[in-house]
Amino acid sequence: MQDATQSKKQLIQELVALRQRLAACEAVDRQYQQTADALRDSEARYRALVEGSIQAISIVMQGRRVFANQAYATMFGYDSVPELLGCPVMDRIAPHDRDRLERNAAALLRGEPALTRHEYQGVKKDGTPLWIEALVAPVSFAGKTALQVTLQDITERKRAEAALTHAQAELERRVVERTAALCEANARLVQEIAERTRSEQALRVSEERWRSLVEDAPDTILEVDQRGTIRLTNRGMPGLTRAETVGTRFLDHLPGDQRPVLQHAMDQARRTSVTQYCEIPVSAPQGTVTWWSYRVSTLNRADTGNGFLIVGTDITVHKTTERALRQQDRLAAMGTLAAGIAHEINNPLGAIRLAAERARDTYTRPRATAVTRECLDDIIANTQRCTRIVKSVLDFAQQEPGDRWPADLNQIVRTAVDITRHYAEQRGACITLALEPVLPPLLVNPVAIEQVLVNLIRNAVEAGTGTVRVTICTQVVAGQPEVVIHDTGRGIAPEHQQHIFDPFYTTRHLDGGTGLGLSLTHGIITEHGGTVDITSQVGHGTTVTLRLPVAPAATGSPPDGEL
Amino acid sequence: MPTEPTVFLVDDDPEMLKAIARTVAAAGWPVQTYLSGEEFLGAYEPTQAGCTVLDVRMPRVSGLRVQATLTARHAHIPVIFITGYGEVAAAVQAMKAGAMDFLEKPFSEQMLLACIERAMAHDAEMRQEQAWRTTFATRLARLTPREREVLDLVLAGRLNKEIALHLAISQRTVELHRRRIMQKLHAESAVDLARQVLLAQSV
Repeated sequence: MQDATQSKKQLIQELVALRQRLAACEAVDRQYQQTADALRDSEARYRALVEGSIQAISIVMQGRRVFANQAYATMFGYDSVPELLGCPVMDRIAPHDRDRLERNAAALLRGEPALTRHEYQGVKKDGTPLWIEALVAPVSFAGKTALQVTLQDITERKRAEAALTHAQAELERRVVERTAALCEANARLVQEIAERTRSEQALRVSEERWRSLVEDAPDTILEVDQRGTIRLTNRGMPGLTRAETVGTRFLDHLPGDQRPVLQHAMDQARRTSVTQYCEIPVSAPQGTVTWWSYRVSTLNRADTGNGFLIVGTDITVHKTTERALRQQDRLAAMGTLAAGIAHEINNPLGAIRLAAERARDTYTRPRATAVTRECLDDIIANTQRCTRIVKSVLDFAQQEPGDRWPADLNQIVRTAVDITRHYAEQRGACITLALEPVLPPLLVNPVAIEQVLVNLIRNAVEAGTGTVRVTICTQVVAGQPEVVIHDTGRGIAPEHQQHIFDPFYTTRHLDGGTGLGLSLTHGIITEHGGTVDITSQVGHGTTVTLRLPVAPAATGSPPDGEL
Repeated sequence: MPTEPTVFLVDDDPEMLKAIARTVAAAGWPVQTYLSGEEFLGAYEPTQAGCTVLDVRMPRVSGLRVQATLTARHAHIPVIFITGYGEVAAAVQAMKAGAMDFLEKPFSEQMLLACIERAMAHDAEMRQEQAWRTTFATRLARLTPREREVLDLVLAGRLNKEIALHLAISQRTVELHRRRIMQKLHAESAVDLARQVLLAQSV
């Protein structure tokens, strides 16, 4: 039994040792447990870190994806990660980038030097392309070598880059364009400067030329202000130097009886802005008469204010020629009327001849006396008609306007219309009369005024190609009788209007116009102390107004009463 | 409108119109007078025989216009122009347009009446010819198609024998057709037949 005691001791010792070992075991176990817990924590932390990372991360082993995080799935348009796992990684890489990336991955895995950063085009699940920047590094995954790929979507950056490149190109293009434009502008500027220099030079030459043109002109050219004071002249007035002339009154240099003519011209020019033309005789002390024409137009000068430009020309030679030509013009006018006259006169002549022959054959027959008598009556009537025609032709062809006597304007108008009616009808024109029943008698040469009216009516009739309506009316304005001839013809162009009374100025050279008709009209009317005004609008027609002097008895004042 | 051949006078001058009318009437021609071209054109019927005496210069519608209007209406009445003074251009135009004569006022009775005689004769001849043409056309229309064929061959100068051969009929039948044709067209001989057909074909 000694053994039993021994054994009991031994047993207790063993039990104690067992307990100690157990405790030690438990301690180890606890330690292990702690380590495992710590590891688990750490793993979870890392996993969370990887899986929760906003950067896309995947691990590729043998070309297949063995791990990917949510960011990766999102980047490629997948809902969940498991869909992606096990798939070939090349699926999400654009075909043209695959070779390059595959070669590089292989090199990395073999441990050879290779690129670890790539930019390439990826493909989303739905096929949308995206730009990716990837960092590739070999890692050990589950004990094997794998590649860890960290990706970033750089599509936006790429787009911005592209936009930037484009913007840069655009900018460069603009710069090139602008430079070209600037070069061109510069060239133009240089040219312009050259031109301006040239034109300045030309202007100087031109100014010089104009100056000499004005100063050496045969005409007297005057600039006159509103009050009639001479401001500038190219020559001195008779008896005065140029310098002395400036500052004097223009009208003071004219014969007293002609001053109203010029005054009227200036008033008219100011009122109508149309250049006025007048002709005046100037008697020299020796008794010789020179004729002067004056053209009066308005000047609008910023520096010196409104005024007149007056050009005086010695037309004595013209006047002499004109007087001779007036006769010719009258003949020419007769020539154009000759056709009408021939027609007019050959009708009664024809009637006379036939009637005479009839009378000759019948007068011996007993029962034909009535016929003979009728024939003879017709002959007499037609002879009278011939006489009337001949008289009007003679009137028309009469020499210089002679004496003046009181005459009725309406009667003159009627005669003029009778003379021109046939011509008007031939031309398809239509003449309408509107005569004021009672007019004060005129003191005129009726034949001359008649000639003027025939001239004006013919002009009116010829003023258009279609049916021209010519209206002739007589009226009294401020005690003065007027006759107004209005036509609906083509009108007179402004450039012709100012020359309308110039001798030899005509737009109808081809039709045989001599350019003397209106000049003659003007001459006759002004000789009578009357006025002619012509207003015209192109396309609307022309209106001619003649104002004529009344017989003294009608005005109640002697002709010289105002002097 | 009178039916007998008439002289139509158109002149805007009433005195002249009266004098001419008196002269023409004294020569025995029916006369109608008009003071304007419009008046005449409004009244005249192309079937009316006679001639016209037209003044060249008239207001609105000139003599030349009246002539042109007549031509346009196929009224082939002869026209004699009278004019106040010698307008060469107008005369040339009038004659080219087929005027019979162109008289300058004042003209003598004799000249006027000679012109009118000639114009009336011309008009009568024209109208007669026109009437004959109409008659002949009616006669021609009465021929049978076979007779037309025979007529064409006769006019082409073929002998009866040739015609018979050509139409595959007996010579006797051809002779029978020929006699019928002569009867229907009132022809006296083959030469007369040819003359008539030629006249009808000429314009």
